[in-house]
Amino acid sequence: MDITANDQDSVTVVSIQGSVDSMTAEAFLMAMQTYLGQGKNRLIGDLSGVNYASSAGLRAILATLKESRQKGGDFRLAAVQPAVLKVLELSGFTSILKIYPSTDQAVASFATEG
Amino acid sequence: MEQVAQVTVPGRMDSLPTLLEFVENECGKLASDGLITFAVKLAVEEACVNIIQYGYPAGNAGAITVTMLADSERLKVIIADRATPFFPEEAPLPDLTASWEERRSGGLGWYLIREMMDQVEYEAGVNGENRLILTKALK
Repeated sequence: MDITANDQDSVTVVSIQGSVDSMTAEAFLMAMQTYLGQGKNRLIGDLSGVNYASSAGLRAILATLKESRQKGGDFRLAAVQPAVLKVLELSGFTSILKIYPSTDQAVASFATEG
Repeated sequence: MEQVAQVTVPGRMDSLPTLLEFVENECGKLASDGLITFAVKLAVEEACVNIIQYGYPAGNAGAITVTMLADSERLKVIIADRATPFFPEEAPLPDLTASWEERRSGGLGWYLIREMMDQVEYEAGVNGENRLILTKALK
């Protein structure tokens, strides 16, 4: 798994490549907590390069979502691949997370909130 | 149903890459639909992580053997261990409707195994061995 972050206006787009599973979830969560610790609490996870996620990955996503919202921000997902989306749906995460077809749309969703 | 492949690894987290690569390769040869391979890989990861984290005591890991069997219609994956037996029917179901503040992620692993597989059977402690038998249609 590779993670790169890119600030766009007041939003941080975090691009993840690879799998978010029991081997990588901890590194994913640590990276997200680093951004949150820097005051970047409006986060977008660009999952266009994520082809696999398991419950360990979901736990890390949930922890990131909670921490960002507790800090007044949000963690939104973009470009989620079909198999990963199915796991999110089955797990009931699509009812608590905002998911957008593209990162541009996810960035725009924050912009309209001011 | 014919055995197509088998692998035995130590029941430790650092065995997971070997196990998942094995599943991906072997399942990929049998299933034309990538979603089937995805589902089997996910189920095997969830089951093996449970064995490693809850079944085997830390520092004293036994083996995990994954056996794959198949015919033209179905794939069967048998995960065998000698850990403390676990009773999947007693696993708590995750609350999938709670608000984000109340949401807990416990129990998702077993829930996903059941959702992703067509059939899930568990034999606990037969001659000291537990067997989780996962079946998935190939079409």
